[in-house]
Amino acid sequence: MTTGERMSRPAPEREAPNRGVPSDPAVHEVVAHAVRVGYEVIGDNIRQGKTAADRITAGDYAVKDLPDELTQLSLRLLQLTRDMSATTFDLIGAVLRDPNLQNAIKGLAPSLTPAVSGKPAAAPPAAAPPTAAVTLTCVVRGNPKAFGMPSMLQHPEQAAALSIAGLFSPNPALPSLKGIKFVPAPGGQGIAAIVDVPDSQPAGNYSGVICDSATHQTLGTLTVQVMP
Amino acid sequence: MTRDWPALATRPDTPSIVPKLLREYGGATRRVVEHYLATDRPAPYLHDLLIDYPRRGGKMMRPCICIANARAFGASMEDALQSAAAIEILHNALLIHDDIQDESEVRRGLPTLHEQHGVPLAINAGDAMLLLAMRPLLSNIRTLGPHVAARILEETMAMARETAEGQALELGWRDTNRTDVTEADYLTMVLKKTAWMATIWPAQVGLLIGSNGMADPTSVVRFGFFLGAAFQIQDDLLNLIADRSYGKELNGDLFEAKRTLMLIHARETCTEDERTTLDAFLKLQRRDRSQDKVRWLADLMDRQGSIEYARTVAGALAGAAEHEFGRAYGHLPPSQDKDFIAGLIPWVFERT
Repeated sequence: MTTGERMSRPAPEREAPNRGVPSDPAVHEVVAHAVRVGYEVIGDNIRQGKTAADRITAGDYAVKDLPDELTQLSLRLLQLTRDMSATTFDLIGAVLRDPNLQNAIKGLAPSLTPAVSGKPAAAPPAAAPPTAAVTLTCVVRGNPKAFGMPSMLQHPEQAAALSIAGLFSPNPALPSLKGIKFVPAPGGQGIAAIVDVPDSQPAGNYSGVICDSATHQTLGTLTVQVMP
Repeated sequence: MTRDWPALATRPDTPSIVPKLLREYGGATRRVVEHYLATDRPAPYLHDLLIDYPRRGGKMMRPCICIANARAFGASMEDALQSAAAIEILHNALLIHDDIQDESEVRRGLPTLHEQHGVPLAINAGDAMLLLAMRPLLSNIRTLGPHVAARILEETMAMARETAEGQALELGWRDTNRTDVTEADYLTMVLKKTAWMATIWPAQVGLLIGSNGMADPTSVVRFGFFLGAAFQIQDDLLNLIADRSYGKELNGDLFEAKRTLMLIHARETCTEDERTTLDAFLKLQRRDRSQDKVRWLADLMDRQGSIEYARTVAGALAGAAEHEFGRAYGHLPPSQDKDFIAGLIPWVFERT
């Protein structure tokens, strides 16, 4: 090295990390464009789906857990299938006359009838991990304007007998709903609460807390809505 | 503009769990499908048609996605078999109708159903299968309980609507000779026509079964979309470049003037004169699209680098699918089913 001569590193072969992506900037552009358009497309679709779902659930349709509602769901599904079909055959009628399908839908009803209040909760669903909540299905009988809200029931710490004092409106002037029964849900998947709602029940929301009768541990809530 | 697109970075090989579970879950599903479609007293002009496509084989990707999701979220294979069978029957029903609408000649290496039996009987068989697919879904009421069964029916309705809209888009573009279809339009059509039925819905059904209806089915929509879009673009590519093992009519999409990513790219990048020739080709009826004209279009796509372009886009979407896999399934414990679902991403590119 002579005086006045500056040391310098050789020019690097690359100035950016090599992460295995092609060096052609056009590919970066294509990849970025494709992914951006993809996210825009799926984002739009999800937004539209949410809007549609909000509209539907605010209107005359919401998911229910009852055999009657399943019948309606099945009918809607079959109607949609018919809409998709290229023929005009009365296929829906043919299916609905099929005794096997009718039994599949109607067969649920008898299993809900032997209701015993305070009976121990059903075994947790086999698929659920031990700490998972149990699906609480609300079966409303009587008033056709009354709907149960599906919810989750926390697993009790030990075998429990479920109890609920009743379903109460925030308006204390309105009569409460009593005599609620718990039974294993059809197929052993969770628990069903059976609530009798008289036709004269005023419109409103009625809620109550479900407890373990032995330990008074709160396990969940049950809500029934009576439409005007 | 002619451009050579360099290949993307090397993709990982398909893990061996993918073909293993495709065989295992696919075989179990086939037995349930047979149970629903085959009868002791075969109906004349119907029974043989119902079991034709399912018995031709197929990859069984859709039912396997359902079962793998169900298991990954905590259920058993048996819990998901009814739904998996419904998915496969519904898929085959739609294939029959698709083949008629597309005037396709070959399906899984053999003449399409309407080529063999005529359009009316094929439509009738497709209709019957659509409805027969509802049986196992309704059986879920007993086996999975009304709550989960209702959620599955609800997602099925959403899928059916999306699929019908997607098919309408593709047919409408062709029938009205739309030439201004963009990449975003194409991906919207793919989302609706392909991804919802092929990947999103099966994953949602499995997730609902595995979580006993507790998990949010929208959590797998993005993953399903990107996987399904990569799957569809690869399928479109195979239609152009595959050998006879592909099982469909080679260049069938060109004869049908399907608005594929390659066609959109070729039209956007070619010269004015070429675009005029291309638009004249698109205006023709399928029967008037000769081998020579189709070969000209294939050459145009080649010259414009449209095939490599589509490969690059498919790779990009597969990368997005990998990202979304982590978001949708990252919280689940390790399992062979989780590995299977992730392994579908490279598998999409290795199938022939």
